[in-house]
Amino acid sequence: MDLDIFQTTFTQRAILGALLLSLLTSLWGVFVVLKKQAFLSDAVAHASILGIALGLYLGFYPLYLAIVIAVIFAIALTYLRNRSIQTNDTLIGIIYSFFFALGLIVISRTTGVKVDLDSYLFGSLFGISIEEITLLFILLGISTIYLARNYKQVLYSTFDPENAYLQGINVKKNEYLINIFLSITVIAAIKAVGLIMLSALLLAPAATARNLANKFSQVIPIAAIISIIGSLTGLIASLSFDLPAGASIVIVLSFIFLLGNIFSAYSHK
Amino acid sequence: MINAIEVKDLKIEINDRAIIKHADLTLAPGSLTYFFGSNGSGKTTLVKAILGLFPFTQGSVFINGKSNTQETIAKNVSYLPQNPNIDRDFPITVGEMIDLACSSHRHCPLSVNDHLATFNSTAIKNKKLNELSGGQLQKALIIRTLIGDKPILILDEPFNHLDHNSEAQLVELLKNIHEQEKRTILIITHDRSIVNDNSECILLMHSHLHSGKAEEIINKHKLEVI
Repeated sequence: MDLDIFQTTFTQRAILGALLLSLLTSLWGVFVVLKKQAFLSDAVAHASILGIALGLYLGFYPLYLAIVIAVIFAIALTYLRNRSIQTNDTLIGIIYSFFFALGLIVISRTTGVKVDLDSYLFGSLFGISIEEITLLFILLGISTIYLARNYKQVLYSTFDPENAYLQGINVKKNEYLINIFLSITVIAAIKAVGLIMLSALLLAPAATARNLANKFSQVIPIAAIISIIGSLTGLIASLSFDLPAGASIVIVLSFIFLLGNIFSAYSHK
Repeated sequence: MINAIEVKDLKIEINDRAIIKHADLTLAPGSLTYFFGSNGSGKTTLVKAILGLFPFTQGSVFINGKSNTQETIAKNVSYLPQNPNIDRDFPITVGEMIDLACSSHRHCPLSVNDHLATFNSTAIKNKKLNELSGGQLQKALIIRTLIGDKPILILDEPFNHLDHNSEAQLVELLKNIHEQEKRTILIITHDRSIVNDNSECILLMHSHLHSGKAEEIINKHKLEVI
């Protein structure tokens, strides 16, 4: 591999984007895994196709509209979950299919979107723009401040919502905010790995960290380290062997997840 | 005198079937009361309604003279659920769980180790929940419930999973809390061995509440069948 490639702007942006995204997805991925909402991230990604389609159709920046749709999806889901006897996965399955179907209808009415749409389906980390890096940076900053200020409340609401309610914690507010942050994070990750593969970026480091951690305070740091290692290794592999960046990152993270599971299984014997 | 807990004409329905009918209940401040009833009679449902965790169709609930809002409950009541809605695989240690509970109390002067020592559980401080036996988890949850100085304790089947020694220890611990700290304690249990004839009791039978001294309740309602 020619090391000069690291001097190029697009590589430097890709590395910076991957680092920011690793930190962001590991923060919220942990709560997705612990709340057993793995399906939610996938659903948000698929629902966001409506925002992307509307963006392409109306000529707006697609990710901004995708964020709006993702937030509406998160609020609708949280609202219905608190008022419906249906299970979480049933509600998610129905609502995201509705959003996805609307998105497909909009796409069918839009000409010449195939190439643009591919970059959202499969990601294009090497094409990440300064605006997108800025969005990631702002989102990471807000997420870090929110979690630092509300860490124990968010943890309590996630771990034992009933007891948290009895301690006076506003569990519903935390649930709404976690789902909104998660939805925006999912949209931010679309650019890197595409909406089809982003679940792995969100879930694999958090799930591995859950297996390896001896206590909760270790989970987020371990997830962040795994995510950064996986993303940078994936990027280097992508540059070295001329592979798609998103797919390379997902494959590395999946291997780390597999190794983590094997290590955890043997260490508990 | 303001009652610690006051329930007036409460009715609870599940799928249009009345679980509790016209329930009236008063617990004086500083009282220790045992709550009996056969399986499925609605004891836990009634307690959850008192705590605002289950809706009721009629009546009212007051905690220390105030309506049972989340704020009133949070200020006044500690609750040990019969089946805590927690994930045993959540990667949290007992010490972290106690620390978390402590952080939500305004007054929590003891350290995590001191809290664990109250129920001989310092050895499980660094264990994750999925590494605990049923009895160890129950002890950890009881310790969490006893944290702080909330004036009312509601314990739903606290002796579940406990061995004989731990059960005796808990009885002693609750006795001390009742006598020294004058907290109001309501214990849901099937274990009649911890009750003496003069203990205050509540019996939930056929959707109705009956209260009085243990001897009277047991004789009147043939409690041996429960």
